[in-house]
Amino acid sequence: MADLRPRDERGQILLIAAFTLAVIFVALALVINSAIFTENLASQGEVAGSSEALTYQDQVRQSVAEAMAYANRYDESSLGASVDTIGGQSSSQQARGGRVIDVSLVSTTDGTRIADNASGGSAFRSSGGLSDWNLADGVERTRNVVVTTRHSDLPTSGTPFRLRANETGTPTNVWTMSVWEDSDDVVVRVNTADGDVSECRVAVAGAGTFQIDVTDGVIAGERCHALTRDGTAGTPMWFATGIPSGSTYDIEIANGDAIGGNYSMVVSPRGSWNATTLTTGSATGTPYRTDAIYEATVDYAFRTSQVTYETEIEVTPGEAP
Amino acid sequence: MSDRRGGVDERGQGHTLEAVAAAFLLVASVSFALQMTAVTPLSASTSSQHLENQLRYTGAGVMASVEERGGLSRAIRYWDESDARFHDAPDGGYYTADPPDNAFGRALNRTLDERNIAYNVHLVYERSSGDRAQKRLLYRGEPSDHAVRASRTVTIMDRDPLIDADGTENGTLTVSNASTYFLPDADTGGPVHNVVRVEVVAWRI
Repeated sequence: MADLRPRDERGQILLIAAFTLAVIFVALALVINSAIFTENLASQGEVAGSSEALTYQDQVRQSVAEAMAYANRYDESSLGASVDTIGGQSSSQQARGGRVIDVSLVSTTDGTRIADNASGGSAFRSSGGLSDWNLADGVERTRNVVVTTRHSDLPTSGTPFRLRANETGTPTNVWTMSVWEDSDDVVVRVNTADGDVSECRVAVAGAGTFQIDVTDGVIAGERCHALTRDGTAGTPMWFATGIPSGSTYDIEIANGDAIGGNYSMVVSPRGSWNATTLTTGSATGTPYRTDAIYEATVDYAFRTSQVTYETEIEVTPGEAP
Repeated sequence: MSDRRGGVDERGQGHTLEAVAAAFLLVASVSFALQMTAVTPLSASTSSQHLENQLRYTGAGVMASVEERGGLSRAIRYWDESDARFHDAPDGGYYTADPPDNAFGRALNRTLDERNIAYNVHLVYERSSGDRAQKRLLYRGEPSDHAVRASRTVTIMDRDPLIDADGTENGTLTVSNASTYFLPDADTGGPVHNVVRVEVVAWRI
């Protein structure tokens, strides 16, 4: 008898142990779950959603840049209406996500677009036929300097095409870009007014046209460190580097005979163009100037239940840093 | 002896019942605990939030880098006027198996397809009446529970040209004068054609 009694008690102990284990498991599950939830919150970076305000700011900038390109090309007065529509449509789209967006045009800065877009391309001569000439004098800012050319129109290393930015009044303070071809490679060398030199080569296949985007530092879709920041030394090389801020510069072309194609740029202030080498309006075959918007400032406001953000965005597509 | 033996038998039944009850409790609590945690990287749960965040940022990054060169806008204008659908799209009017052969499609393919991620691309826009409309650019089926969405807004202007199949701008057809182009002019009389929200919905498979 005596040896049987403890067995009775063991059944109860087992039951109690099972209950205890069950409670422990539930407690553990709660602990693990709360740890996961903490990790989840931590992995979100920031919970309030302020990064959305900045992401959307970038999208507004790009939309306004589109509208500006349209205004410069077709109708300069259309920018205000475009910005209003962009703001209205953006806000109705974002309202679905509980965000309020307001975009409005504050001001614009006048500039001049200088271009030669003869169909099929032409040598980069002035309207008077000069090969070495000035496009603009007393320029403060320049954006969207784009050269469109092709292999058969590129010069050899003996007579490279040169684009210069000379400080007005101090012509020795000069930023120079030289372009030539070396078999399949397009070579761009930049000498800054600070005395730095950098060179990049981009292999461009085919006989078709390609773009040298001088202010963005891109040749046929590939980065060219000689137009942005020197790859090894890290020194800035972009357009007009070394011209002291606050002083103006002249934009010159040298060996314009050697290269063929099209080019365009927008300069500010309006009136800095060279009246003798450029024609007015879009005359074919010669370089010309037209009025353009250099810069647009838009007011951008972003609101959610947690974030209120408001700033003015300056839109200057294709301006070197 | 017979009494004692009979008593032992009854207690044995009791113990068995207790053991079954205990086992049931143990199994039930273990399975309950397991439901609280993520078991595989594919199960939709709070613990795969990192991966979902990564996927969302990847989607947003793809669109941002493509749009830096205007590729998103071109993908929206990659339209076959005579067939009234995107270039080389199947009969349904949207891409299914292969993404479009343009910068946006190639970037999606390189970034998501190669990592076994399925995705849909929708274009959300407004009609001139103010209604909201949606068009599929690429559709690969119903997203799973742990799908994420990234979006980017693109402005299309009235005189933006349509893009030909080889990626060049069409000389004559613009978004305004093409008769079969899907995107309506939301701002009649104004310079803006429409503001399109490109949405990428992505999920792991």
